[in-house]
Amino acid sequence: MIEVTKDLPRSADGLAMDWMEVPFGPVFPGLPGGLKLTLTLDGDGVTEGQATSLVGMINESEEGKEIDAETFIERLASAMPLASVSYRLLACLAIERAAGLENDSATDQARAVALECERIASHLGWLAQTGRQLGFAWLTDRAATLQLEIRRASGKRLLELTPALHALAARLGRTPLLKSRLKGIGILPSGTAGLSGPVARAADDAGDAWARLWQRLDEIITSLDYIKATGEPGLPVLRNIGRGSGTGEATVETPRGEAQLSLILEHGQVKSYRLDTACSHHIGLVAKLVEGRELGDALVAVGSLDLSPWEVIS
Amino acid sequence: MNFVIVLLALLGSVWLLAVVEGWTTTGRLRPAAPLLSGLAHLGRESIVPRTPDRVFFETAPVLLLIVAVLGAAVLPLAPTLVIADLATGALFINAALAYVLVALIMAGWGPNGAYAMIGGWRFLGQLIAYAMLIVMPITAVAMRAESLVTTVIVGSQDGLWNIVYQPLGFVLFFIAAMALAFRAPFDLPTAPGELGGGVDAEYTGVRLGVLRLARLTLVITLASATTVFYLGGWHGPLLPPWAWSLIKTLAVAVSMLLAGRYLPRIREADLMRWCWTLGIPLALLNIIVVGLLVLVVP
Repeated sequence: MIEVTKDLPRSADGLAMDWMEVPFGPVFPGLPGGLKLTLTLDGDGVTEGQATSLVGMINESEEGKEIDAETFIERLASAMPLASVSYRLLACLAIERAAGLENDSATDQARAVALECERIASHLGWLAQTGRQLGFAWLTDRAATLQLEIRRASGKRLLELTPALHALAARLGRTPLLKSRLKGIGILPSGTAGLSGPVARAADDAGDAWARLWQRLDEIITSLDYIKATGEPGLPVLRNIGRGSGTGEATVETPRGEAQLSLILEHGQVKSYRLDTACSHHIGLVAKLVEGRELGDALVAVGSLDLSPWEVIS
Repeated sequence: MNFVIVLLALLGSVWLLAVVEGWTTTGRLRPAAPLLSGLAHLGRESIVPRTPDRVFFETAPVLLLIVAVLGAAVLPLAPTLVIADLATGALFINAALAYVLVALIMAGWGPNGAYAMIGGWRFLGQLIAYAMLIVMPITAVAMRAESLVTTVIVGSQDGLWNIVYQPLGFVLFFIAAMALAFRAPFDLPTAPGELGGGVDAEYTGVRLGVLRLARLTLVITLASATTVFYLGGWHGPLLPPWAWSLIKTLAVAVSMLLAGRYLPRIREADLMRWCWTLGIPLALLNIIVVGLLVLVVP
């Protein structure tokens, strides 16, 4: 027996075990597509792990290759399928600022409503994904149905969905086993570097997966209140910039956290850009979150970050 | 003859359960879906993993099916409609269902894949949690009937079903039965969101078909056991005895199915802790209460 196990790595409890390196993703039911999680397993405990995105954007444009402003916006929006409105808005703002356009309050307001709509839909999408990961079929069905309705809804219909969204939150508060499944999992204290968005705001509370769930549910309600007070959404469309030139910077609070874009515009063409997203920082937290956890808890911790592999910039 | 009738009843119940399962999942009531799905499994390529333990890999789905049918063999549909009315029937069902663990460990080990293997070993942990909660409530049921014969156990509930006589035992047995059948929220060995199917992950084609048939049969067997032990078996007005047995069995099976939809998967550590620190003391309390009732109430 000693001969068989003498060269094997030791677990935390001193047992000698075969450790396995197991891939989860890029296509895995409990994780967003495109995210590859590689975990080293000691039984069903995780000794170490890392996450990589297989679909993330590459930062900055190719040398000497200028892109038309409209094309740039379309490309950025389509490169981020889980938050296309947010990145469309980010690109519009950065280009308009580079072109020296002043803010227009009516446009800003309609854009902000569109952004809040996307935030609600995105958080519902995360809830559906969490339901899939936890084997909670009712949550998956309900959240996915509401997400589709939100995506199709106008301002008035959105308000009609308010009771359903309140009911969803109330129901989750009453669901047995949910709290014990999420409480104390994936703790990120408020001082942790690189936190942004709901993950950062939940860190001010308990900083665990349970707090992140409630942070997103609170944000859904807050966004609904904002839409109620403001009006109809308007998809961000680039205003007339002519052949403007300059340097522009913009920041947008996307559903997953802050995204920053700085770019150089020359005669209406984007010459170069630099993008920074919350997911690019959050993905680096995975190793710390999964180490020493049971496999199921490790996956819940990763899921609770709501990583979008498309928003991981390399 | 009894063998054929019970087997047909089992198959019919499995079909109905599969229809209901499809209904709750897709929202469409399609009575032909289980048959079409079964045929589709037969027609699909049955892939064998690269370096399997071939004996374990091939045997596991069949063993699980045999275990589920064996368990049903001692459960009566009517006073004379039982395959084997053993003197140790209540004990036999425990013994038969112990092999569910063997089948799942084999299904986990056989394909030589990480997800399947973790799923198999997870079920070993699950067994340590639920096993006592299967045996102890049955002990209380046998105490009231003063017999391990399943037809006598049903007979003992003529005036008062055990769900009323020992409700605590019913709740514990129902939960443990769901864990034994690895239905959500106790689907730790399969856990699609964590293990991509776990013990099911490497099975395809006809082998997967057998595995799914076995899982549904196991649910029906455990629902039938719940009916026999707690819901008065064949007792009921107007309808023939076998009809009552089938109605109650299906009602229990469907409730097992639905309960899982509204709950997230339990953590293995929590399952173990709650079963041992709460479940077993409650099961002991149930035995004591039933013992006192048996002594005091004629």
